[in-house]
Amino acid sequence: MARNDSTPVNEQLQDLLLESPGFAEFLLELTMISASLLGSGTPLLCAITVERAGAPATVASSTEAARRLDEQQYAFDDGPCLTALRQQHTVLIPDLAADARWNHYAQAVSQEGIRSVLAVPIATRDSAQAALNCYSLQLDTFGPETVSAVEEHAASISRILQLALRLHSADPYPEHLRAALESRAVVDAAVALIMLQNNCSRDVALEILLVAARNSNERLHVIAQDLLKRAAKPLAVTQSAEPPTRETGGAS
Amino acid sequence: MHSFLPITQAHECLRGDLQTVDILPGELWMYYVGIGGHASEPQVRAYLDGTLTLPPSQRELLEHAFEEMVFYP
Repeated sequence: MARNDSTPVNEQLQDLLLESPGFAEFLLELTMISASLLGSGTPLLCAITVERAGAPATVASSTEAARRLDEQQYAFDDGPCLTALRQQHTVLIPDLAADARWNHYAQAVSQEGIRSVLAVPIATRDSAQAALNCYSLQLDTFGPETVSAVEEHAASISRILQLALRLHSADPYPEHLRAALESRAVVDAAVALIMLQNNCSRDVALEILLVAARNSNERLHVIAQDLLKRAAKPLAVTQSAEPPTRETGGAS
Repeated sequence: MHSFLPITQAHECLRGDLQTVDILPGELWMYYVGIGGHASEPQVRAYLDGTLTLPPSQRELLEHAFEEMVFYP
């Protein structure tokens, strides 16, 4: 496999990005390009998986078989691609049937006729993780030269993938989204608690939290958290005497 | 325009403050939702532009969201 030939021209990738209506379409084209560039010697099945914080994973596959091979990993929540993606290191399985570590996965995908697997992480920003997965129907497809060619290719598509992630961002402020959702869950629970304890409206309960936050120079969600913690303690002790609908009582 | 001074001034102050500390309206809205805010992002943007009034409780929460973003960056 020629290494230099497998480095796609940046302009070509940028055109691809501009022409794709959405992230999934872009990723599919990128996967097709990768499969044709890398599989010039032996036919390769390729897939690219992208996991973004707070969003479901996007998987693009060069063939139906590659899609099934990737989906099996999600069914188990384990597999070479997910390991490459989440631990950010290359996973090479020269002989899938003989590899004890991936026995489980090998059995699940045995009907696809896959003999060897290579999964390589693609560098992205903190809020997303990506990996390029190559599946081969032959043994020993992934020699040292091929592994470095695939790694090189993964590095070469990293920048365009980051641009695509930014352009087709699921949310304009992804890094703040999780924090806001977590904070909101705590505040809502505290508001409900105050409403129940004081027999008051939601607005009044929020006002109580606001005043408490101002008076103590603390963030509102910290006040809410403290309130819930304090409420949970006596509940845990007296749980048997309480109606079984109080979920905070289960906190150990 | 300036006949409804209390509301007009509040949103104008907040809009000015946002620009001063370089916080985007969308960022403010997300934080505000995080502390229990009800209004949608377009509603908050319209409020900042002075084309929509928010209920007092929501205005207060929006102000508080801004204060927390500035004081606890």
